[in-house]
Amino acid sequence: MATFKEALQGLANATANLSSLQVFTYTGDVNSVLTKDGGGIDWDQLFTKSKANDGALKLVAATKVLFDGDTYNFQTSEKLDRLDALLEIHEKSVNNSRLARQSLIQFFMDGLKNAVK
Amino acid sequence: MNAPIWDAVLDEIRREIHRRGTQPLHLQAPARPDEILVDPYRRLQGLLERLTRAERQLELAPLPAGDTSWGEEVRPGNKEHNLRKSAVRARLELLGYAPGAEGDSSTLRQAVRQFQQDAQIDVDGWVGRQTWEALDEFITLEPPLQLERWYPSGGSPCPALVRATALRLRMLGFEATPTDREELLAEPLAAFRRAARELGLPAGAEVPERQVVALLFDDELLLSIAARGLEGQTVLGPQDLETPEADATSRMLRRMVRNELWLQGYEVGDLRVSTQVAPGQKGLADGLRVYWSHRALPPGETIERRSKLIDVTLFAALQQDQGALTGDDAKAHEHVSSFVASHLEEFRQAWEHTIPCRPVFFIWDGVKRGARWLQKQIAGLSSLAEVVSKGVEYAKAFVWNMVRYVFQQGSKIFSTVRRAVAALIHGVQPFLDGSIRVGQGLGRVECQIALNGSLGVFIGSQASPSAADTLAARLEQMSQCLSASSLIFAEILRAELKLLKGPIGWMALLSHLVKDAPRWQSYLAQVAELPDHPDPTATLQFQTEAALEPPPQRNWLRRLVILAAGVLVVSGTGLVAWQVGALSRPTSSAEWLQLVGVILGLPILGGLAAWVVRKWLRSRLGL
Repeated sequence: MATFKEALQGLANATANLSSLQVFTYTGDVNSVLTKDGGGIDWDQLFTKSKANDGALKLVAATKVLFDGDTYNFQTSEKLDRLDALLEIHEKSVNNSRLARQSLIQFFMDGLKNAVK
Repeated sequence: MNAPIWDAVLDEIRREIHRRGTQPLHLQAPARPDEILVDPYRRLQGLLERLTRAERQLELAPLPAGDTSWGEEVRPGNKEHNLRKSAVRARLELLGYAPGAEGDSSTLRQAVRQFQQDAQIDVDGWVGRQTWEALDEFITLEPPLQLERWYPSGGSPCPALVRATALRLRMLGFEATPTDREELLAEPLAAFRRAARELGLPAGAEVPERQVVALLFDDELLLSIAARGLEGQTVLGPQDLETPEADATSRMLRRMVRNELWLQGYEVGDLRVSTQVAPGQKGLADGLRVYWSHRALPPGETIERRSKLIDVTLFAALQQDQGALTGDDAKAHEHVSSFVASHLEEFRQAWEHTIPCRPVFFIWDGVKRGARWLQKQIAGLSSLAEVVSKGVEYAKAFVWNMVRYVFQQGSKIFSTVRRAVAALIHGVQPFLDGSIRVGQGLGRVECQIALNGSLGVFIGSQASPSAADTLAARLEQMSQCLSASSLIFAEILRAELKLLKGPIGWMALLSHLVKDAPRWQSYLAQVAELPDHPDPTATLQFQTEAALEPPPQRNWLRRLVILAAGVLVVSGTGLVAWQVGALSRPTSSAEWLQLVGVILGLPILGGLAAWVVRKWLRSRLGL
């Protein structure tokens, strides 16, 4: 349970810094974005590589939700294969991410607020 | 309140504890969580620890959280409570399984597996909700039984139902040994048919066996039809409990009454022995004495006489009790919980004395009957003093039912909390892992999850729609688990804090939670309905597909280039051979060296040239 506790602590800390929520959805050749050891995706380089426009990686959509509820969206203008499906999963990801975020706030913030009433 | 009588009630329970060799509970006041007001994380940790302590102290027996697919993953966090284990062991023994002695978990697990196999439910040796509810159906005398599930029309009963049928027959006084073989019950079932027919019940030879089994398991129907049948009955006269059980029919009647009183919480002695009055032993007559002590007696009757008589008047009264259902369940629940809350100290005493005394009983049977009986009694009573003034035995029955009612509600609430813990862990896990990955290779779909909830989603160029759906489903599951669990924990924190501000303990918390039991029921339903993992076969199928190399596509341009390169090499070699031939045969060492160099070197140069061309074409044409 130690790791679970650590995760909770991390979440508790993260809720203090909830200025915005961002969701990026990419598609393309996985080989072009793997880490050097080939084990996982190099998420840090993903955004840069997708802008390189070498054809291997595309940014499908990006959403930024600000704390006050304002939302900024980007959607690719390229005619990608299965674009509708990709946008659908992006939308689902945004919704689920928002719900998860709201739940954490509800627990760590609202719970505390009610507790000290 | 009339303290001496209340003390007598507790003494009576204490004596029973002594007889059973159990120890009374000593509930301790919970630590006040003042320090956790500041930090929600520490507050949550403290809450879980305190709830675990409360659960242990109150001897509650919630179901383990591992009764859903997502709960399975956090099984190490689950535990099966000793109290519930005792109940499971007792139930399995009654059905004729061999669950082993107290503390022998491996034999118990084996017996649970056997039961699950016999009941044709998931076999994992784990008493989750499905297994618990199946045991409930087979053991409890209260309907409903899902007959179609255990005994399909046109089919045969599952082995577990056969065992339960044997038990039910024994409870009604028929000779039926524990067995899972249907044919071994033919004789006792035939005896039941005869007795039932004599009472006017529809159980003749023309009635299919499945229907007879249904009747056997419907205790309420059995009682009401028997009551109606007895009204016009001349063969079966009143029966005196001073006399032995004469035949199968009178034995069945007596045992039906005893079962009914037992379900209502009265002391009726050992359910396995004869109902005839035995000096110095608790029995059906004692239960009837208490029963008639708080009911209006028929004119000219005395409690003493009625306590030894099984007749149409008694059946009519029992049937009337069954019909006296309270209209508004929510209101009845409020009455009971308010009554408990206004007598907290007495309730604590009763709990401490009662729970260790009859642990199995509390999570066993008569839940609905006991609750109905209690609600009816409380409607006519204003205080506990009034309860105890009706006599020690009546007060004992009242206490049994009150504690049992709260126990049932409390266990459900703690089940909710356990599931909420499992859901929280499951919801937090992806944050802990940092990512969710589905599939591999070009079909890989992956999602990176930051602690603040931000996501990066990558969908491989050849990812199948099912892989993307799997990822979306997991994200949905994560968010819903977090949503449900955070709602529940916030609610508990509020309730706990409000209560712990005063000098009250777990009893107050329990009674407060019980007061809100309907809401907790809805939470329980909400957590239970959380989506499980996506269909594992779909995932497996996808992973299998991804693990295989995708079928090669026919790229004609690439083939053309390779062919051209091959032609180039062969032509070059031919040209060299022609040139060498033109030079005539070598005669000196230098000419021989030149020949070997040309033969070996030119094809290498040709291959190198072809490789360069191919690379160049690949980069330009995207081959």
